[in-house]
Amino acid sequence: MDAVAVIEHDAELMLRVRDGSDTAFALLLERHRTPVVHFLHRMLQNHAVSEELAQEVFLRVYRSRATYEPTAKFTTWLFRIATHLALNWIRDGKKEKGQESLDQSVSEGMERQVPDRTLTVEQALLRESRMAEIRGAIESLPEKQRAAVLMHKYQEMEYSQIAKALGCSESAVKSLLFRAYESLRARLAHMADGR
Amino acid sequence: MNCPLQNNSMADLLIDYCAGTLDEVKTAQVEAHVGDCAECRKVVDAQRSAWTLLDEWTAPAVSTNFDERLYRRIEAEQSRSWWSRTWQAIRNPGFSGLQHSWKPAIPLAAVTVVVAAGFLLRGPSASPDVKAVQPAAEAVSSSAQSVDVDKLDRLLEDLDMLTPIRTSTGG
Repeated sequence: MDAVAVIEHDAELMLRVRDGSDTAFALLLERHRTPVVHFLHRMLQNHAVSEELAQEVFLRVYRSRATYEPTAKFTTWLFRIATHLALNWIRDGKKEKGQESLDQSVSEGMERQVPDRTLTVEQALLRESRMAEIRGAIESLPEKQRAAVLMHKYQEMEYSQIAKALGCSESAVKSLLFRAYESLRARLAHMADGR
Repeated sequence: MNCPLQNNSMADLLIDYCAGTLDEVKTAQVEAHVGDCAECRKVVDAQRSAWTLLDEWTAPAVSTNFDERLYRRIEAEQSRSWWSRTWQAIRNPGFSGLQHSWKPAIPLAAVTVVVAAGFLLRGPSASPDVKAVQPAAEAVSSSAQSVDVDKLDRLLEDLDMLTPIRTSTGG
């Protein structure tokens, strides 16, 4: 199935949700649950909160079903809501409140992330150290730059989509990305040499 | 071609080149330039390395009970009373239909409340006693107004976020 067909399929499913189909909502959830949770996880680096906010994203989609119109890509709308909730969460300073759960959830997350039994303890520690540096580099970016990079790199969204999700112009997105990648290149340069 | 690093409007070319999203013609142009320009080559190499490192960062799996929890929330919301859902729609926009009808009414209502409060406090019948408490009343009113503005700002942002995006076509 090509990209256009997928996009049309999303809109078609959402229209069916608008008409009362729970099956269509389940299909949309199945298709977009993981990308939304992963985006929020990378944005907030807190697994428990990312799942909570992802639930809020889908809840808002469900609440808004009656007024849905397929005038933009469904994923753009979805990530617009996700970005808005993530930025609000950061702005509200809830991160401090969730710090305890952050430490817990990150360590839980890492346990799930290292199922590779072929790694020695040393290799596993080295890998964890690299991951911590990558996470730190992303976390050090200003929120909007972070959101732009995550949508560009991991969701492979176009500049126009990212612009709509962030509520800014395409040229502003290009500028955000340029500055963000510049920072990341500088922060990760020493790791590139040692790979 | 001009050096992308010397031209702000072309700065995204190197990123697009590394991401492999340029068309064939532009890819060939950038490739030729990068071959000649040491600065751009340095950026391209660093960008590719950073990109590869970011690929290593995998997010943890979604909890197996994610859907179950979501459906429970939806069910709980649907079983709430009409009044409770309406109040929720006002506090947390997203319920069908309300987002459009309430948007213009909210700032209007806020202005009306402020004007009415001002009218009551500064009315022509105000006695000397009333005038004496005016500064305190104004301070309270001003403080309430600033809180309301913050809330309104957040509410309008929420509403704007849920408004369907109009400018693009497609699904």
